[in-house]
Amino acid sequence: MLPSISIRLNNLVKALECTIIPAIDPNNDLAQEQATLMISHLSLINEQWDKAFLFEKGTLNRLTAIAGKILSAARGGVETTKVADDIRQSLDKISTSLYLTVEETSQQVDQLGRNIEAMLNAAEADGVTEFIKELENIVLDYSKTQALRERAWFQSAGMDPDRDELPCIDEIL
Amino acid sequence: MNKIPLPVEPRIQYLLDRKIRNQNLGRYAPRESGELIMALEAYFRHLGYTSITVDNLKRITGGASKEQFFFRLQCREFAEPKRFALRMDPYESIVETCRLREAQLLQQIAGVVPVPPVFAVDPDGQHLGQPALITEFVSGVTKPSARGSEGVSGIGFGLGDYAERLKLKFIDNLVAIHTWSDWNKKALSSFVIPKPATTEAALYQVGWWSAVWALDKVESYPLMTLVENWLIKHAPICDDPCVVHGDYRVGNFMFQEPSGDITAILDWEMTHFGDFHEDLAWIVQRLYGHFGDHGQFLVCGLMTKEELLQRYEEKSGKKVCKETLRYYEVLNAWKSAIMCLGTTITVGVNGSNHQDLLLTWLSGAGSIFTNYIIDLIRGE
Repeated sequence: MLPSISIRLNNLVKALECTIIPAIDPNNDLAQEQATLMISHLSLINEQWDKAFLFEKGTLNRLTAIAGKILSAARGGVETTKVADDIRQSLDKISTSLYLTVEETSQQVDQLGRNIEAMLNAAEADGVTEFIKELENIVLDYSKTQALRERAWFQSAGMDPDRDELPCIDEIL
Repeated sequence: MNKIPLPVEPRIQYLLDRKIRNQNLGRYAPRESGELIMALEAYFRHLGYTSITVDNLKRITGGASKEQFFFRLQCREFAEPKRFALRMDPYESIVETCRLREAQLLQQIAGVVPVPPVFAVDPDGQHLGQPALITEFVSGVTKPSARGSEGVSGIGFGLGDYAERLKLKFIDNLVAIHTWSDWNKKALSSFVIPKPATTEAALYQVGWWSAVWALDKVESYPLMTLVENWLIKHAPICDDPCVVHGDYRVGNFMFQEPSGDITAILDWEMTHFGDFHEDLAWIVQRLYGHFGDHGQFLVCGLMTKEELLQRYEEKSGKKVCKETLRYYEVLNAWKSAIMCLGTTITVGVNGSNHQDLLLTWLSGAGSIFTNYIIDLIRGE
């Protein structure tokens, strides 16, 4: 059996709270601040780790969907056509592969994202006007949803001024 | 797209080149007190002071950028011991900035607004190991003492009853910075002043941050490319470039308790010459504000956005252009997103800062800015 990761993270937090932080020189503000931040990080990791794969898989699924839309809409010259071919190749690879870890999935998100970045630049160079507008809308729509998912992912960090209005992590996977 | 190369100030390019070199230096550990005291004493000897003792070295926490300390210096040349503040660069920071620029600006703008007097600057770390700026100690607090240690780097704390007392002084100082015009160009040799009535003011900033993103991007993020292209296409003309503080907000000024008198405007590291709208757009970022008792959103915890803009226009005589303000809100949110989504993570990977842990924590704020950018571009 695997010892529970959550239990081990909780043990780390307890060791910091009950043993390590009380032993830190009270005049050492940096060490005190860093130890407190460790607890915050560990608590957040404990909330996220079991959902990280589904989160990244959700990102890849959404990015794959908009890449398909971009391919359908792409109209332009040599640069636009070349990048469209690159996107098609990335989509072919994704559709025939199985990604089982967060890292493998993130690599595909990165690759497809780079293709879309290249398309944004290619469209500026030789895309037709209607395509440039549509591409912008597609990327903005995707980014709005993705920003909501990422804000929900970090909701517990307490930095988002609108955190009370955000969905919980399970709702955005 | 064959983009036209964007302009970057020579001193900023120097800092970015230095950042690349520093990435080969390995992990950065916080400076140890004994070693730093020895380095300071040797530096002051080099500057001509005699019978030197440096003591009471105390690290300042709460910031997210540079290593900062207070210390006391006794020497034959002083009638009595004096306290100073030291700002030092780690190998990499959330933003690469220049101690020389900071010192030049502080020396020039002293008397226009309250700033910490400059005592010494070691721009390339020749004496102290890392670039450093030493300023005289200024009394005051950056947040009400009753609020304790809540909030990181100006994020998530309120000013309570002090908001009413501080808001007009906050605007007065901003207006003084933006209307200051008798600077000595030679004494500000590390700055580029954009040409009036051109788009240079905006494009120098896009150029700086585009170069940072190129260095620090850890994963693709199509929105960032879209925004960069949008910023180039929509760059506004700036008729009359002025000093832009660059990080003017709650947490970056000191005030006396209980009077609420502002004793120093701090943190001039991102200062440059540009468009006054840029500072206004920085102040109104959602990350630095919170909701007031009556449900209204208070920028920097001080006042509503509408009140800020109205009072600024009244005091400065400048007309705020809504489209230009929107442009700089997008630019500032993009800069902040670059720091959070790129630099904080790169620094975390390299272990090149004294508090990587804090920087990677701040990476979680990136999507607050990207969400804001989308609303702004869509005019929502």
